[in-house]
Amino acid sequence: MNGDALPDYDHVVRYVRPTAIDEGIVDGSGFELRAGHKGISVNWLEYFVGDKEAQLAEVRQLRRLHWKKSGCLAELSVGATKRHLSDQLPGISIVEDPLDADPQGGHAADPSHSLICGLPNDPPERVEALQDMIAECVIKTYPTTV
Amino acid sequence: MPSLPSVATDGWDDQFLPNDASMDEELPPTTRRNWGFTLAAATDWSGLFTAGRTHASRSSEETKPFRALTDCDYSPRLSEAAKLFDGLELKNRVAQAARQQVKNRISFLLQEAKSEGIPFDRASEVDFWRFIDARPLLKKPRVFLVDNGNLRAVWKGEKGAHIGLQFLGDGKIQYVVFATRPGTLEPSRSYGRDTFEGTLRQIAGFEIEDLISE
Repeated sequence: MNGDALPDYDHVVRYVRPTAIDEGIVDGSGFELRAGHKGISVNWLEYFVGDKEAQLAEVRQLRRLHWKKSGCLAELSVGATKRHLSDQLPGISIVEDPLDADPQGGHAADPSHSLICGLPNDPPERVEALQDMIAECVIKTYPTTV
Repeated sequence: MPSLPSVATDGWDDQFLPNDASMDEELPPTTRRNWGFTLAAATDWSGLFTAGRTHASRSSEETKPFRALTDCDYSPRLSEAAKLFDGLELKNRVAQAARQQVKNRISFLLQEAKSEGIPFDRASEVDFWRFIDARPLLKKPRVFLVDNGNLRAVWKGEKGAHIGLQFLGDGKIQYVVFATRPGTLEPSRSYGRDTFEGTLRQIAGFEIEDLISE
Protein backbone atom coordinates (compact mmCIF):
# COMPACT_ATOMS: atom_id res chain seq x y z
CA MET A 1 0.00 0.00 0.00
CA ASN A 2 1.18 3.52 -0.78
CA GLY A 3 3.60 4.78 1.85
CA ASP A 4 4.17 1.40 3.51
CA ALA A 5 7.74 0.56 4.34
CA LEU A 6 9.30 -2.24 2.31
CA PRO A 7 10.46 -5.27 4.30
CA ASP A 8 14.09 -5.01 5.36
CA TYR A 9 14.99 -8.32 3.76
CA ASP A 10 13.70 -7.26 0.33
CA HIS A 11 15.55 -5.55 -2.50
CA VAL A 12 15.11 -2.62 -4.86
CA VAL A 13 16.72 -1.66 -8.16
CA ARG A 14 17.34 1.74 -9.66
CA TYR A 15 18.17 2.72 -13.19
CA VAL A 16 21.59 4.40 -13.25
CA ARG A 17 22.39 6.47 -16.31
CA PRO A 18 25.70 5.96 -18.16
CA THR A 19 27.16 9.20 -16.81
CA ALA A 20 26.93 7.82 -13.26
CA ILE A 21 28.54 4.43 -13.82
CA ASP A 22 32.17 3.88 -14.75
CA GLU A 23 33.69 0.42 -15.13
CA GLY A 24 30.90 -1.14 -13.10
CA ILE A 25 31.23 1.33 -10.22
CA VAL A 26 28.07 3.28 -9.48
CA ASP A 27 28.56 6.84 -8.30
CA GLY A 28 26.49 8.58 -5.69
CA SER A 29 25.30 10.96 -8.41
CA GLY A 30 23.21 8.05 -9.67
CA PHE A 31 21.07 8.50 -6.56
CA GLU A 32 20.34 12.16 -6.96
CA LEU A 33 17.06 13.44 -5.58
CA ARG A 34 15.46 15.40 -8.40
CA ALA A 35 13.90 18.77 -7.66
CA GLY A 36 10.22 18.45 -6.81
CA HIS A 37 10.45 14.70 -6.14
CA LYS A 38 9.55 13.21 -2.76
CA GLY A 39 12.22 10.57 -2.93
CA ILE A 40 14.59 8.61 -5.13
CA SER A 41 12.70 6.32 -7.51
CA VAL A 42 13.38 2.58 -7.25
CA ASN A 43 11.57 -0.63 -8.11
CA TRP A 44 10.75 -3.24 -5.48
CA LEU A 45 11.94 -6.57 -6.81
CA GLU A 46 10.08 -8.87 -4.41
CA TYR A 47 6.78 -7.36 -5.46
CA PHE A 48 7.08 -9.76 -8.37
CA VAL A 49 7.18 -13.50 -8.06
CA GLY A 50 9.87 -15.71 -9.50
CA ASP A 51 13.61 -15.62 -9.46
CA LYS A 52 15.78 -12.52 -9.81
CA GLU A 53 15.77 -12.65 -13.62
CA ALA A 54 11.98 -12.90 -13.73
CA GLN A 55 11.67 -9.98 -11.32
CA LEU A 56 14.10 -7.89 -13.36
CA ALA A 57 12.20 -8.74 -16.55
CA GLU A 58 9.01 -7.33 -14.97
CA VAL A 59 10.81 -4.16 -13.93
CA ARG A 60 12.29 -3.71 -17.41
CA GLN A 61 8.86 -4.09 -18.96
CA LEU A 62 7.32 -1.41 -16.75
CA ARG A 63 9.97 1.26 -17.28
CA ARG A 64 8.69 4.72 -18.09
CA LEU A 65 11.96 6.30 -19.09
CA HIS A 66 14.30 5.53 -21.94
CA TRP A 67 16.98 3.29 -20.49
CA LYS A 68 20.33 3.39 -22.22
CA LYS A 69 22.22 0.18 -22.87
CA SER A 70 25.35 1.62 -21.28
CA GLY A 71 23.39 2.41 -18.12
CA CYS A 72 22.57 -0.25 -15.53
CA LEU A 73 20.16 -1.39 -12.86
CA ALA A 74 21.75 -1.12 -9.42
CA GLU A 75 20.43 -3.41 -6.70
CA LEU A 76 20.21 -2.40 -3.05
CA SER A 77 19.15 -4.34 0.01
CA VAL A 78 16.42 -2.41 1.81
CA GLY A 79 17.56 -3.24 5.34
CA ALA A 80 21.29 -2.91 4.70
CA THR A 81 20.86 0.48 3.02
CA LYS A 82 18.77 1.82 5.87
CA ARG A 83 21.21 0.52 8.46
CA HIS A 84 24.21 1.96 6.59
CA LEU A 85 22.67 5.43 6.55
CA SER A 86 20.82 5.41 9.85
CA ASP A 87 23.56 7.22 11.81
CA GLN A 88 23.75 10.06 9.32
CA LEU A 89 20.10 10.01 8.32
CA PRO A 90 17.86 8.62 11.05
CA GLY A 91 14.75 9.46 9.03
CA ILE A 92 15.59 7.34 6.00
CA SER A 93 12.84 5.06 4.76
CA ILE A 94 12.12 3.02 1.66
CA VAL A 95 8.42 2.98 0.96
CA GLU A 96 5.90 1.81 -1.60
CA ASP A 97 4.82 4.42 -4.14
CA PRO A 98 2.83 2.55 -6.80
CA LEU A 99 2.24 4.40 -10.06
CA ASP A 100 -1.13 4.41 -11.74
CA ALA A 101 -1.46 3.54 -15.38
CA ASP A 102 -0.85 6.43 -17.76
CA PRO A 103 -2.83 5.65 -20.93
CA GLN A 104 -1.81 8.93 -22.58
CA GLY A 105 1.87 8.16 -22.14
CA GLY A 106 1.27 4.52 -23.00
CA HIS A 107 2.41 3.30 -19.58
CA ALA A 108 0.90 0.45 -17.62
CA ALA A 109 0.52 0.75 -13.85
CA ASP A 110 3.71 0.11 -11.92
CA PRO A 111 2.86 -1.36 -8.53
CA SER A 112 6.56 -2.01 -7.76
CA HIS A 113 7.53 1.65 -7.86
CA SER A 114 8.95 2.77 -4.52
CA LEU A 115 10.86 5.69 -3.05
CA ILE A 116 13.92 6.16 -0.89
CA CYS A 117 12.75 9.00 1.34
CA GLY A 118 14.32 11.22 3.95
CA LEU A 119 17.21 12.69 1.98
CA PRO A 120 17.72 16.39 2.59
CA ASN A 121 17.99 18.92 -0.24
CA ASP A 122 20.72 20.97 1.43
CA PRO A 123 23.56 21.54 1.91
CA PRO A 124 24.73 20.04 -1.40
CA GLU A 125 27.98 18.66 -0.01
CA ARG A 126 26.11 16.71 2.67
CA VAL A 127 23.61 15.47 0.10
CA GLU A 128 26.52 14.30 -2.07
CA ALA A 129 28.08 12.42 0.86
CA LEU A 130 24.76 10.72 1.61
CA GLN A 131 24.36 9.77 -2.04
CA ASP A 132 27.85 8.26 -1.95
CA MET A 133 26.83 6.26 1.10
CA ILE A 134 23.80 4.91 -0.76
CA ALA A 135 26.08 4.00 -3.68
CA GLU A 136 28.27 2.07 -1.23
CA CYS A 137 25.27 -0.20 -0.62
CA VAL A 138 24.96 -1.34 -4.24
CA ILE A 139 25.10 -5.13 -4.13
CA LYS A 140 25.11 -5.83 -7.83
CA THR A 141 24.44 -4.22 -11.19
CA TYR A 142 22.39 -5.67 -14.01
CA PRO A 143 22.09 -4.71 -17.67
CA THR A 144 19.18 -2.54 -18.67
CA THR A 145 18.29 -4.89 -21.52
CA VAL A 146 18.78 -8.58 -22.15
CA MET B 1 107.43 25.64 -8.27
CA PRO B 2 107.11 22.69 -5.88
CA SER B 3 107.30 19.30 -7.46
CA LEU B 4 105.05 16.46 -6.59
CA PRO B 5 106.55 13.96 -4.21
CA SER B 6 107.54 10.72 -5.86
CA VAL B 7 105.03 8.79 -3.76
CA ALA B 8 102.24 10.52 -5.59
CA THR B 9 103.45 9.24 -8.91
CA ASP B 10 103.73 5.76 -7.48
CA GLY B 11 100.21 5.81 -6.29
CA TRP B 12 98.85 7.27 -9.53
CA ASP B 13 100.64 4.82 -11.75
CA ASP B 14 99.35 1.89 -9.79
CA GLN B 15 95.81 2.74 -10.79
CA PHE B 16 96.59 2.22 -14.40
CA LEU B 17 98.16 -1.14 -13.93
CA PRO B 18 95.14 -3.30 -13.37
CA ASN B 19 96.93 -6.39 -14.56
CA ASP B 20 99.90 -5.86 -12.33
CA ALA B 21 100.39 -9.17 -10.59
CA SER B 22 101.86 -7.49 -7.52
CA MET B 23 98.60 -5.62 -6.94
CA ASP B 24 96.60 -8.76 -6.87
CA GLU B 25 99.03 -10.33 -4.52
CA GLU B 26 98.88 -7.43 -2.11
CA LEU B 27 95.30 -7.95 -1.17
CA PRO B 28 93.38 -11.16 -0.95
CA PRO B 29 90.32 -11.14 -3.20
CA THR B 30 87.97 -11.12 -0.24
CA THR B 31 89.54 -7.95 1.12
CA ARG B 32 89.34 -6.29 -2.23
CA ARG B 33 85.69 -7.03 -2.47
CA ASN B 34 84.99 -5.70 1.00
CA TRP B 35 86.78 -2.44 0.94
CA GLY B 36 83.56 -0.56 1.40
CA PHE B 37 85.18 2.54 -0.04
CA THR B 38 83.04 5.53 -0.66
CA LEU B 39 83.61 7.78 -3.60
CA ALA B 40 84.57 10.58 -1.24
CA ALA B 41 87.19 8.45 0.45
CA ALA B 42 88.54 7.23 -2.83
CA THR B 43 88.95 10.72 -4.20
CA ASP B 44 90.56 12.07 -1.07
CA TRP B 45 93.98 12.62 -2.53
CA SER B 46 95.55 13.98 0.61
CA GLY B 47 97.65 10.87 0.88
CA LEU B 48 99.21 11.62 -2.48
CA PHE B 49 100.82 14.70 -1.09
CA THR B 50 102.03 13.23 2.18
CA ALA B 51 105.71 14.02 2.09
CA GLY B 52 108.34 12.01 3.92
CA ARG B 53 106.41 8.77 4.06
CA THR B 54 107.50 5.71 2.25
CA HIS B 55 105.33 3.65 0.01
CA ALA B 56 105.46 0.81 2.49
CA SER B 57 104.27 2.95 5.38
CA ARG B 58 101.19 4.15 3.56
CA SER B 59 97.97 2.20 3.63
CA SER B 60 96.71 0.62 0.46
CA GLU B 61 93.84 3.15 0.54
CA GLU B 62 96.35 5.93 0.25
CA THR B 63 98.46 4.36 -2.44
CA LYS B 64 95.62 3.15 -4.65
CA PRO B 65 92.75 5.56 -4.19
CA PHE B 66 91.03 4.54 -7.43
CA ARG B 67 91.18 0.86 -6.69
CA ALA B 68 88.10 1.31 -4.61
CA LEU B 69 86.22 2.63 -7.59
CA THR B 70 87.37 -0.01 -10.00
CA ASP B 71 87.25 -2.97 -7.66
CA CYS B 72 84.06 -2.17 -5.87
CA ASP B 73 81.19 -4.41 -6.86
CA TYR B 74 78.55 -1.97 -8.01
CA SER B 75 76.17 -4.51 -9.46
CA PRO B 76 73.77 -4.61 -6.47
CA ARG B 77 73.49 -0.83 -6.40
CA LEU B 78 73.22 -0.55 -10.15
CA SER B 79 70.56 -3.18 -10.19
CA GLU B 80 68.74 -1.36 -7.38
CA ALA B 81 68.97 1.90 -9.30
CA ALA B 82 67.76 0.19 -12.45
CA LYS B 83 64.84 -1.24 -10.54
CA LEU B 84 63.97 2.19 -9.18
CA PHE B 85 64.23 3.70 -12.62
CA ASP B 86 62.14 0.91 -14.13
CA GLY B 87 59.58 1.35 -11.36
CA LEU B 88 59.35 5.07 -12.00
CA GLU B 89 59.19 4.53 -15.73
CA LEU B 90 56.41 2.00 -15.25
CA LYS B 91 54.49 4.36 -12.96
CA ASN B 92 54.92 7.09 -15.54
CA ARG B 93 53.54 4.89 -18.28
CA VAL B 94 50.64 3.79 -16.09
CA ALA B 95 49.88 7.44 -15.33
CA GLN B 96 49.99 8.34 -19.01
CA ALA B 97 47.66 5.48 -19.83
CA ALA B 98 45.35 6.63 -17.01
CA ARG B 99 45.32 10.15 -18.42
CA GLN B 100 44.36 8.83 -21.85
CA GLN B 101 41.58 6.69 -20.38
CA VAL B 102 40.26 9.69 -18.47
CA LYS B 103 40.32 11.72 -21.70
CA ASN B 104 38.31 9.02 -23.44
CA ARG B 105 35.85 8.88 -20.56
CA ILE B 106 35.31 12.64 -20.71
CA SER B 107 34.69 12.45 -24.46
CA PHE B 108 32.07 9.79 -23.72
CA LEU B 109 30.48 11.95 -21.00
CA LEU B 110 30.36 14.94 -23.35
CA GLN B 111 28.69 12.81 -26.00
CA GLU B 112 26.17 11.53 -23.43
CA ALA B 113 25.47 15.04 -22.25
CA LYS B 114 24.72 16.13 -25.80
CA SER B 115 22.47 13.17 -26.54
CA GLU B 116 20.59 13.39 -23.21
CA GLY B 117 20.35 17.15 -23.05
CA ILE B 118 22.36 17.23 -19.79
CA PRO B 119 24.52 20.32 -19.24
CA PHE B 120 28.29 19.93 -19.49
CA ASP B 121 30.17 22.65 -17.65
CA ARG B 122 33.39 23.61 -19.45
CA ALA B 123 34.66 25.56 -16.43
CA SER B 124 34.36 22.37 -14.39
CA GLU B 125 36.33 20.49 -17.04
CA VAL B 126 39.08 23.15 -16.98
CA ASP B 127 39.37 22.79 -13.19
CA PHE B 128 39.33 19.01 -13.51
CA TRP B 129 42.31 19.03 -15.89
CA ARG B 130 44.12 21.60 -13.77
CA PHE B 131 43.89 19.20 -10.86
CA ILE B 132 44.81 16.14 -12.92
CA ASP B 133 47.71 17.79 -14.76
CA ALA B 134 49.30 18.79 -11.47
CA ARG B 135 49.77 15.09 -10.74
CA PRO B 136 52.31 13.45 -13.03
CA LEU B 137 51.92 10.09 -11.30
CA LEU B 138 48.15 10.12 -11.32
CA LYS B 139 46.13 7.06 -10.40
CA LYS B 140 43.11 6.70 -12.65
CA PRO B 141 39.92 8.06 -11.13
CA ARG B 142 36.39 7.06 -12.07
CA VAL B 143 34.85 10.09 -13.71
CA PHE B 144 31.17 10.98 -13.66
CA LEU B 145 28.97 13.76 -14.93
CA VAL B 146 26.68 15.21 -12.28
CA ASP B 147 23.22 16.44 -13.31
CA ASN B 148 24.32 20.06 -12.82
CA GLY B 149 26.96 19.58 -15.56
CA ASN B 150 29.99 19.30 -13.28
CA LEU B 151 32.61 16.58 -13.54
CA ARG B 152 33.22 14.40 -10.53
CA ALA B 153 36.32 12.27 -9.97
CA VAL B 154 36.21 9.37 -7.54
CA TRP B 155 39.03 7.23 -6.16
CA LYS B 156 38.34 4.20 -4.01
CA GLY B 157 40.70 2.27 -1.79
CA GLU B 158 40.72 -0.43 0.82
CA LYS B 159 38.51 -0.50 3.93
CA GLY B 160 35.96 1.86 2.40
CA ALA B 161 38.45 4.64 1.65
CA HIS B 162 36.81 6.98 -0.80
CA ILE B 163 37.61 10.36 -2.28
CA GLY B 164 34.98 12.14 -4.38
CA LEU B 165 35.81 15.52 -5.91
CA GLN B 166 33.23 17.54 -7.78
CA PHE B 167 34.84 20.38 -9.70
CA LEU B 168 32.67 23.43 -9.28
CA GLY B 169 34.43 25.49 -11.92
CA ASP B 170 35.54 28.47 -9.89
CA GLY B 171 38.70 26.99 -8.47
CA LYS B 172 36.64 25.25 -5.82
CA ILE B 173 36.01 21.60 -5.15
CA GLN B 174 33.09 19.96 -3.41
CA TYR B 175 34.71 17.04 -1.67
CA VAL B 176 33.55 13.87 0.03
CA VAL B 177 36.20 11.86 1.88
CA PHE B 178 35.61 8.57 3.68
CA ALA B 179 38.43 6.72 5.39
CA THR B 180 39.05 4.48 8.34
CA ARG B 181 41.65 6.05 10.58
CA PRO B 182 44.26 3.78 12.16
CA GLY B 183 42.96 2.16 15.32
CA THR B 184 39.30 2.65 14.46
CA LEU B 185 36.75 0.34 12.87
CA GLU B 186 34.18 2.80 11.62
CA PRO B 187 35.12 5.08 8.72
CA SER B 188 35.27 8.80 9.34
CA ARG B 189 33.38 10.93 6.85
CA SER B 190 34.15 14.44 5.82
CA TYR B 191 32.56 16.67 3.21
CA GLY B 192 32.61 20.31 2.26
CA ARG B 193 33.72 22.89 -0.27
CA ASP B 194 37.22 24.27 -0.47
CA THR B 195 40.00 25.43 -2.74
CA PHE B 196 42.29 22.85 -4.35
CA GLU B 197 44.84 23.36 -1.59
CA GLY B 198 42.26 23.17 1.16
CA THR B 199 40.79 19.99 -0.29
CA LEU B 200 44.23 18.41 -0.52
CA ARG B 201 44.82 19.30 3.14
CA GLN B 202 41.58 17.49 4.01
CA ILE B 203 42.70 14.42 2.09
CA ALA B 204 46.14 14.55 3.70
CA GLY B 205 44.44 14.65 7.10
CA PHE B 206 43.03 11.21 6.36
CA GLU B 207 46.43 10.00 5.10
CA ILE B 208 44.96 8.70 1.85
CA GLU B 209 46.76 10.95 -0.67
CA ASP B 210 48.18 7.80 -2.24
CA LEU B 211 44.72 6.99 -3.61
CA ILE B 212 45.09 9.89 -6.02
CA SER B 213 48.70 9.64 -7.10
CA GLU B 214 51.93 7.78 -6.44
